[in-house]
Amino acid sequence: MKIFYPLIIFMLFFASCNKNQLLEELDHDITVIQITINEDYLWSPDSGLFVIGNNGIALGSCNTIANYNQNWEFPAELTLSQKGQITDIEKVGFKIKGNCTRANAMKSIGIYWRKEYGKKNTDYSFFGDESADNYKRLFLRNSGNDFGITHIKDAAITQIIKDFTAAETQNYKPSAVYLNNDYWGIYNMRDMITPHHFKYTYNVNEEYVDILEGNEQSPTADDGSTNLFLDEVVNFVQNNDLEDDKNFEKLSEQINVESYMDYIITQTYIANGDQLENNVKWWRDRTTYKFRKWTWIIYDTDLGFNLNKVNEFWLGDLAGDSRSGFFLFNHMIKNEKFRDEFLERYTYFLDHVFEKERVKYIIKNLMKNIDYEYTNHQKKWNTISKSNWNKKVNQLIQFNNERNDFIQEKINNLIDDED
Amino acid sequence: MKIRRLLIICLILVSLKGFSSTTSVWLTYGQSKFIYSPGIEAVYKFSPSFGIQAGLAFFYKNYQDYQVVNVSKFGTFNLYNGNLGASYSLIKKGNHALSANAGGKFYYGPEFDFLHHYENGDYKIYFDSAPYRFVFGMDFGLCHQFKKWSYLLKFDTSRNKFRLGLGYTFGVMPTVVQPDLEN
Repeated sequence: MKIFYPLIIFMLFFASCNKNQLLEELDHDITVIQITINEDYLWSPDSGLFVIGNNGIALGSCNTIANYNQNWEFPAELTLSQKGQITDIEKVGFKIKGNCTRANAMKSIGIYWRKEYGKKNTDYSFFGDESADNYKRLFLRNSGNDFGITHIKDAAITQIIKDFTAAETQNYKPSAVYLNNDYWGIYNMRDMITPHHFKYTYNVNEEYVDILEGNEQSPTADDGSTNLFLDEVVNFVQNNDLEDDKNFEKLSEQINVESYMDYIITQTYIANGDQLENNVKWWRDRTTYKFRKWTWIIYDTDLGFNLNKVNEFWLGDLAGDSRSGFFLFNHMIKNEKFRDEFLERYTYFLDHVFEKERVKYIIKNLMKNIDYEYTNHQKKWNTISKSNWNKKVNQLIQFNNERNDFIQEKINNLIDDED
Repeated sequence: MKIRRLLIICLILVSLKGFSSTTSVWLTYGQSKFIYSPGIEAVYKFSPSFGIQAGLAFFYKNYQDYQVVNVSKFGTFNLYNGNLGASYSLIKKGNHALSANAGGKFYYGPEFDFLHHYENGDYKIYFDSAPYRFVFGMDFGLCHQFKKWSYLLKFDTSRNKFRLGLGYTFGVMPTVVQPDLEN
């Protein structure tokens, strides 16, 4: 009987601990964003943006028919604060964003400035030292496919490449979000890649911006038109031999070759299983000389840096790889000069951009930035424990250490073959 | 098919242990928000006091679309949890016996947690916090037996949940040596 009483006490003690009691008082060392919005816009069965609800639609190949797949936008108020001091209040539009990752309990949010809410844009400095002087859109990201794992993967990959790459990237800053006074976890503040992003970053007219996505041979227009790309790039590549330097020169008048190289290098190095024909976008401005070439955009890299893929290598025809998504690349590597430059640039990325100690420093730094906040986030969404989170983040570093050696050898072999 | 296979294996294991000796089998049940979980549990006593206890449970998921923000892809009916541990007979007086069990438990299934109280609708909204990975913890239980019938109360630290069982003992009832509680 002596065992009986401690056992009962033990069972009752555990049963009486619930998560809400553990979340009573929070403080934050990162930017806090308070979103105030009519409750019906979030939770009503007919118009609630967060629930599966009774008014749902399907989204692409995602499984669930749900309200959160709707493209509804509702008015909201955004209050930003740092260290307890309110720094800005904005009237905005509120949407759910993302593809199938909308099915996560914590959903990505799009913030929209429009005249009808009060202001067409804002000059609030969301990212500190960013290049854009105004914002019309802001992306509060749930970390996509990395939700519940490291929560920093896409941000880390962006930070690793952003100072070296000619491809477009998104700014990043972590934030603690409250939704109508309820703590809602760590959201990754990101630029939203729209024509407005290019307008405020590069001072181009957004009406003349084309943003394409998907398969290079048959892209869809996220904004603008696919016509010029199909005519000037796809048709040209199909009907001209790029082994001829003159033809390659003509192609390089249409596309930002460096950005394309960096896009291929980054996606193949990080072994992003979501690349090639899914998360790929490229843009141009039809009117200005400086930005008239198609430039690739690197985003949504959450499936990269996966330890299970350290020893996978794909690089189109250059690696005897038959998977789709290398249409342009397979044509471009017919040109010897491009091939040499590409391999040289890959080597540069291996030695400098993905250099082991540098990557470790960046990842540890990003981890440190949300280390304090992670406890609150973990309790809110029942994500992995802090020790497991540490382990998962360290696996990013481990991936880079092993991947660098592996790819180094592969690229050296290709260089030797060239010689 | 997986579930059917598991049930068959479980029943075979129970029968192999021999209904002619001392095997107790419980039909168990647990319930949490939107989850209804039947299961089966068995203990094989290899001595008058000690035994090995194991169980499996399944879930049936039934929720309202307007009350949830997400649902994980475990299907509507699937494996929910399992446990393996040791059983110890604490006391036996006449036809009554009390035993305790302790061991490990895993969950692999949905779990609906409270997210928000929707005031205009006056109901609660939930999220499925199931992490698509095994969640491990400890499993404790007490069993009261009267003649060959018994009931079981269990609690696990994996998800802090209680579970009830109604069981029957096959074979000869064990003779339990009464521990000397005074010393």
